[in-house]
Amino acid sequence: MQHSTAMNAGARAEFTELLQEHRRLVLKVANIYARGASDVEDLAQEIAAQVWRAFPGYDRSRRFSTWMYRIALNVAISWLRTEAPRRRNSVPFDPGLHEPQSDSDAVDTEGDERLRILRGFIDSQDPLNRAVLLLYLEERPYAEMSEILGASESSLTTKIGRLKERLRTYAEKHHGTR
Amino acid sequence: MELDELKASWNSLDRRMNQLASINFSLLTDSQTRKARWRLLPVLIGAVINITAGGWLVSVCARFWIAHQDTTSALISGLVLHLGGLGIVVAGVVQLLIVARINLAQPVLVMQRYLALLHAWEVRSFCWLWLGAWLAWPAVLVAGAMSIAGVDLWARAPGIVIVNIFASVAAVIGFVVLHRRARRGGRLGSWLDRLLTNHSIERARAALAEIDRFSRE
Repeated sequence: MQHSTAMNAGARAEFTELLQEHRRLVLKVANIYARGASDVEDLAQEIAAQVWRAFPGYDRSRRFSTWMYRIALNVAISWLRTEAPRRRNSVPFDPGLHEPQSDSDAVDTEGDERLRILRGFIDSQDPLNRAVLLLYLEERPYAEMSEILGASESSLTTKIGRLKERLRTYAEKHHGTR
Repeated sequence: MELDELKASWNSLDRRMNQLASINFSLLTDSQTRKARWRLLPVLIGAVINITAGGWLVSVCARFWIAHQDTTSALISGLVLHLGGLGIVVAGVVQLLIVARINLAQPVLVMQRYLALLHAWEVRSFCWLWLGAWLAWPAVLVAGAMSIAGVDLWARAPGIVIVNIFASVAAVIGFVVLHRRARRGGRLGSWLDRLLTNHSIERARAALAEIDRFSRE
């Protein structure tokens, strides 16, 4: 068992720097699995804290982002399976999190509509397919996706093909968009 | 609509997420890092308690049935409880072996499969130990009477033992029937599942099925 408290100040500084650098990754994963600003924030903090706890075991010869994606996705999927069902009764969906935040955003109604379609589609997928979608949207190379998920590159190609098909069907059914 | 067309919309999330100013990871305080405790610690403690308690039961029961080999009822009771103790130890050891393989930095499919297996094992071993406890109840009665009062209950009052055997068998049959009804689903089924195992069976099965489906696809 590794304890964060065992880390020295240098390691903590290194970790903080790496976390800031990859802050976007944590937020995107939290956004894929949690709904509502407070849940997204809680999950993001949980991911950051668990990455911190696992940091002493990080092998520096490997890419930090790959290692962090694994932890972030594992924490988020477990959170979705255990924590989210408990919260669903008390915390309503917060559409405001993804509503336009400024005038420049408000003008982009087409972009918002697309984002809504994408969100709806993501929500309709199981946790593992959400992970594939996230990595694809983040344009991670297939080799890295395979390393993160533990699935072969050929099976990921098939899965992404299926997800594309499902998206077409989803957009047509729910939004009348081809 | 194509997935690739949505990439631009997805990337626009970056800007919006940066507005979530309240999330400041540089403020990972001591209390937050303390919160990052090992989530499986309670499972680990539970497994250690199982192994310790089971081991203690095995040693006590072994001494008991070795000392009462001349009394058939005491010998059988001691052996039944001895087996029960072994079952508790095995449940704890398997739990511990699965926990030892769980590591957040593993590939997602590997880690999620171990978590689902752990959950399924916890639910199954809970059910088996619960059934075992009911079945072992008459043995506890006979062994208790022998070790506390030195009385062979089976020889002195067989009726009491027989009534308790019927009661424990009835309880086991009742549990099995309810458990099967819970597995069939439906409103009554999910109510029973919630009552018996807090939705654990359903959740464990669903998680394993989902991982298998994803791996097969």
